[in-house]
Amino acid sequence: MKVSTSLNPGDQLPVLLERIERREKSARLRGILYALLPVALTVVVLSYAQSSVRNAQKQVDDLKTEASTYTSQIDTLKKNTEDYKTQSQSMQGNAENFKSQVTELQAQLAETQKSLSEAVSLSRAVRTIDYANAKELASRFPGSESLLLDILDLGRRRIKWKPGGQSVQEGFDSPSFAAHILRQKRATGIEVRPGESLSEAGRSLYDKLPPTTQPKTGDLVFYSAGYAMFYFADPRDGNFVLGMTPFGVTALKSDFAKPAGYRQVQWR
Amino acid sequence: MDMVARIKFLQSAIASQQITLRLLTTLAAILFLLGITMVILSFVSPGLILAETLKTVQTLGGIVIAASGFIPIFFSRRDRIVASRALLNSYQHRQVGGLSPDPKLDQYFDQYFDMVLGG
Repeated sequence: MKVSTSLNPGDQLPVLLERIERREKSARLRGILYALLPVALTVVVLSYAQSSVRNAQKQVDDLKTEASTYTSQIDTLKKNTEDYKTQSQSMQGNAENFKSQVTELQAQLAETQKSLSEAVSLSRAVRTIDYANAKELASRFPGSESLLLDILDLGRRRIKWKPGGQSVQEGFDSPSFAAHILRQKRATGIEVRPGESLSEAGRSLYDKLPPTTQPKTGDLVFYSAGYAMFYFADPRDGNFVLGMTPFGVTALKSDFAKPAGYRQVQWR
Repeated sequence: MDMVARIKFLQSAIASQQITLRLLTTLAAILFLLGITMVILSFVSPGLILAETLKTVQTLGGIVIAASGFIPIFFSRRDRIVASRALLNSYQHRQVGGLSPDPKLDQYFDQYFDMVLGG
């Protein structure tokens, strides 16, 4: 460019200076633009990253809240499960109790049925005793009148049937009643041991007394049902046994049940 | 163009170029300091500017901004100012009689003129 040779300094200088100024401005803008371009790109990238992180953080917070809700729900369910477990265990315990109660009731029912059937069979074998003519009856058993009269006297007093009973007031079961009579009448071979109860004594009679196959009046007859009755040989109205039954002091036909054995009693 | 006009032209051109140089130098310094500050903060106090998870991104961004500070330096055209000053000094010496007239000086001026105002 040969501008310098053709230009008149007086006319050209302001124009040249203006051109210089324009070029410098352009250079400044270019420099600023080129410098700020990567800065602007960096700012955009960083802003985008920051925005993404914020969104992700928000999502994480939402998920945390959701997780917290689920955790509390799980805790509640766990607590409910524990409660149900405890209730279930309690109900199982109750069921066991009911079961044992039912078993007990069944056993009682069976016992009652057994007692009822025994009572029915006993009632068929009852021998009615005319208490007004008790002495007449006793006269048939010479040597055992007082035994019969004493038993009948206790019968008149309506002594109750009481399994394991120990006294006249309390009542007796069949063996303990027999033991009571034997002690009262001081029969031999029935020594009272210290501390031995009447029911224990009654249970031991079968072992203590001598066995016999031909029972006489005043001997004891043991039945498999647990009865221990005094034997009376009555040739007129038939042999009978007298002792404590669930009906009280009762006379029964001697063959009301199959005897388990006879035991001889030595009266004084 | 006579020598006085050339001296005046050179003085004006140098003044304008110096403004450009100062502007771009200031911009370079600002960008460099800004970038370095971002890098340092990413290590010293992550999470202050951007989220803590973007620590590495902040470091890289700071490096990019600091590096951008060098771009205005490349566009500052300090060589032109040096050339303008050399020419101005030569013309001023000639004006006061310190240098004998040299046609090569005018030739340099024409080349400079082409460089400054040319394409």
